[in-house]
Amino acid sequence: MTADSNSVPALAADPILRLDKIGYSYDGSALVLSNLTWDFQPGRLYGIIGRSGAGKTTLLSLLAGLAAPTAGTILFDGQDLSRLDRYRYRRRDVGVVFQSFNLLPHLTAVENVELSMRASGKPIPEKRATALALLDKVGLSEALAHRRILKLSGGEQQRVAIARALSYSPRVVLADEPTGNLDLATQDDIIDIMGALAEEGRCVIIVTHSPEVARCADQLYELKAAAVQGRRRRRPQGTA
Amino acid sequence: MLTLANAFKSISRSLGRSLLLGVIVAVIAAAACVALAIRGAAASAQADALASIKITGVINRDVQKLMTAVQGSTAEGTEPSRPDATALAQVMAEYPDLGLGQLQTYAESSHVADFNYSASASLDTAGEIEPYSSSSSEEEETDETTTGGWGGLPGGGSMPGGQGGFSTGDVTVLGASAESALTGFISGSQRITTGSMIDLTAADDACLVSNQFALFNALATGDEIDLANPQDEAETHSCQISGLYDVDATAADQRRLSGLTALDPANQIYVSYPTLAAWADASAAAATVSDDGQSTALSLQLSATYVFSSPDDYSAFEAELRAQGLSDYYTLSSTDLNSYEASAVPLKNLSSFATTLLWLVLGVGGAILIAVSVFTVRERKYEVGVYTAIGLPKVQVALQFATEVLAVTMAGVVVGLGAGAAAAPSVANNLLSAQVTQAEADSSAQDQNFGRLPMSSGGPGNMNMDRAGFGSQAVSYIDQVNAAVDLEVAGWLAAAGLGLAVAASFAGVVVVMRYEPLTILANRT
Ligand SMILES: Nc1ncnc2c1ncn2[C@@H]1O[C@H](COP(=O)(O)OP(=O)(O)OP(=O)(O)O)[C@@H](O)[C@H]1O
Ligand SMILES: [Mg+2]
Repeated sequence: MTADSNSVPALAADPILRLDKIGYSYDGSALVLSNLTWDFQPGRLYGIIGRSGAGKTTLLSLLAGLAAPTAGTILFDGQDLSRLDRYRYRRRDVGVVFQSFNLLPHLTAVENVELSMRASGKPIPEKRATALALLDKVGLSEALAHRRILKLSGGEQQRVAIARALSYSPRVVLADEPTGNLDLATQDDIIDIMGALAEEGRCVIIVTHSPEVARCADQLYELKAAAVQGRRRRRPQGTA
Repeated sequence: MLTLANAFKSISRSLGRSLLLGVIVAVIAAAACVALAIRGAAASAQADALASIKITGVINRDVQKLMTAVQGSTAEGTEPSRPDATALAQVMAEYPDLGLGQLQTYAESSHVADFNYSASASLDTAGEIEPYSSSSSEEEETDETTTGGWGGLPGGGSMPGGQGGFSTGDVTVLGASAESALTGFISGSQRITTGSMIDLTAADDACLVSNQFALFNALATGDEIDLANPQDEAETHSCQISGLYDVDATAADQRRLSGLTALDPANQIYVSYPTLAAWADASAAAATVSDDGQSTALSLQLSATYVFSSPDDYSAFEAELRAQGLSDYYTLSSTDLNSYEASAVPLKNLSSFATTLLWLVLGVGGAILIAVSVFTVRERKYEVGVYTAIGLPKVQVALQFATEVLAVTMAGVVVGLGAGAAAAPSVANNLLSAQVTQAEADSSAQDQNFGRLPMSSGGPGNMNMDRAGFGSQAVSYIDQVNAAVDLEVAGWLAAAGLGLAVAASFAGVVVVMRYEPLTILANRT
């Protein structure tokens, strides 16, 4: 970090995540991602857009440390992610809202959230109360919080997944279509929460098809299938 | 801590899966428990039975083997024929009955716990004395002498050394070396009611006679009786009655059937071995030998018994005899061991059945358990993906799954142990009684094959009172076991359960370790 960081923060800060000429292919078949070089700064909200099948979820998986790129490197805090303990990275440094939620069906909503809190190993006091407050914040009432996952609707499950990703205050939040199943009012709430997380100094990366979400991003990256091209768009000045 | 919490939450939230595994384990455990209890009970019942019997052995010349040997050497290449008498006489002479000295030498073995011997001789009554007879018809004179050779053999009378013929007199005089040789008194079928026991180490001409014999001849303790050599009535030996004994009625009945008074227990006269040996020496000194080689000397039948403290000692002693050069034409045999082995047959069958059951249950059960465990983990692939995606190390997930299997398995073992313990005693005794019935059916079929009536026992009497008759003896099978589930069985079962659980968990762990979270989650829509 430079001492003089208030002048042009977005450009001066060291990236928390950096993609360095990465490429990826599933099982050696055709490249899904190739030669991507992107930076992600802390304290900013990023939007990733692209057509279905462009590789957005694949990219998020790489950023989440669920898989290693087949070409290039991903740097987290300047360190090669593939050399780090990726389990530790996943449970402490990055929170992921999966496109298909990936919640545990035999647990209740609040138990799913608590599980991630406990797994992180971070000293979080009053886990149950914190988890319930977080669920309430994403719009899930206490009654619903005590239901098993399979008894919740898709939108409710999505909110549980969001709460879980935020529960242990990770420095990076990755969300794959987090508003896909939500009504407009709830979507606005989620956008506000994500914005607030970025304000707190976290790096928030959202994959989205929603123009509303895209509009709120500090920066947008667009993925084009196979051929890759980055495109920058500034968040409209004055909107906070 | 988290692992444990997750494991128990998972068990309680997936009751169906847990119950399936638990019930399988409980069934395996119950079957294994019964099998183990039966094995243990069978072993201890056998040990008890063995501890309660005294293992005695005798060394005999194997006449049948000798005859076969003679037949084999003479009839080679020709059609089977009767054994050549001269050749047989030769081998008989070559392998005579073992002498007392030889038998005593063998008795010095460390495997022999006790050794005793007795000799018996058949004598006639002399003077006023008559042998006791239960039949009222006295017309048949009882001093007839039965001379037999090796029955049916031509020229059997020409056996050398007094081996060939024996004469049956009125009474049997038995000279014992030690009280342990007096099996009737040891077992309680005979007991002294008047007077006192004789000194078995002294050649003091003291004797014991039965109450019947004494009553029949109006004798009392202190009286002298005269006995004559059946081959030479002029040669008499006398002894003084030291005590009178009673004979168990049922034991007496059996030998009386033979019709020979000498075989009636009431006509047995006990003296010390030295006494009888002195009589024989005197008789030999005065004996004459007839033209056909028959001596008039009193012939003694020696019977030596070795006592062993365990079947192992018995076998070791036999091996030792062979090592010392005892020919195969002499056999060591034990009626106690034989009858113990016969009585333990159903128990052994039960035990081997239980062993088979045990391995079958553990093998099949283990295979089922591993299959269920692997199948379960595959079904829980998604769960593994989620746990690992949120950063729980695979090892921890595997440990959690193993903990679940272990906890459910142990619960199943406890339930199975309870059920098995409740069922084991009656299952064991039912199975055993089925085996006993089987064994009884087998042996009665055998008896009928030999033309014996199912109830008959005894058969033709033997000259030697202390040897069992030739007929089939009624075997009393061990027909009760106590298949209680003790700590040992419980411990074994817990260990087996643990082993199975570890195997099953390990299989699950291997499956878990193969998963990559991305592949699992990506495959899901
Ligand atoms: N596990 C996989 N094995 C092989 N190919 C895969 C796998 N997952 C995705 N792909 C392929 O990779 C490409 C990118 O998939 P990805 O899921 O990243 O797309 P996406 O941009 O997230 O699409 P959407 O907007 O529909 O979610 C697609 O062509 C897809 O078929
Ligand atoms: Mg996607």
